[in-house]
Amino acid sequence: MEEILKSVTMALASAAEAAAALVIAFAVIEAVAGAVILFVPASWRRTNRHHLAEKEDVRLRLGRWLAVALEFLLAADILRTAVAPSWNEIGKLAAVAALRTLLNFFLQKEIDRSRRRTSHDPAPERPANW
Amino acid sequence: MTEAVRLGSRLIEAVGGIVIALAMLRAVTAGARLRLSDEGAESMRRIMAGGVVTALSLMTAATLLRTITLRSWSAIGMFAAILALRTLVKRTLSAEASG
Repeated sequence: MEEILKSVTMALASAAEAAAALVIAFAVIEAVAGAVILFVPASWRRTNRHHLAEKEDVRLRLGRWLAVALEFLLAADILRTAVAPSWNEIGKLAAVAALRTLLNFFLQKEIDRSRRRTSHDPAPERPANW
Repeated sequence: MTEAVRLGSRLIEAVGGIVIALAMLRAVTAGARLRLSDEGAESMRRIMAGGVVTALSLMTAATLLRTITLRSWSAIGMFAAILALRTLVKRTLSAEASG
């Protein structure tokens, strides 16, 4: 009974890690595609956003997805420390928790800053889910 | 007696695992429903944070229950570290969710 519960929790932790890996993979593919599009001259793309704001959009979007992935990794690490506590696992949990908190903090700061900047910007915004 | 406590703590942990699994499912469906927009990413993160906080409360209960069976200083130190970490994570997560 105990062994079954252990292996189920371990499988769940692996599933959470796989989800995080998928999120990171798709986010990176999207960011690369977005960055490549930025090299196309603006007049061809019919966009009226500032070129720096466009670059920031790509960067912030990647950051948002990385925050989602870190949340999944946190779930995986918490499951792991529940099953097999070792100093190694505890260290990993501490590292992921610290990273997640720091990334979220700075990401939120940057999002606020870019929002404040665009609220002064008279240029019309693109739809949010573009 | 010791065996019963261990099994009980494992069961509580399994419930925590189920909570995390459900949160993952909800996060993925919410992200798919919002078609992976920025709001989708934000709500995925929120849902995962909420699930982790709930699971952490259960896991902390299980850890406390298992301190009954601890015998070596190394194991006690490890549990102290895990408990401290989980409390910190829970604090920051729920502060972010409410703030």
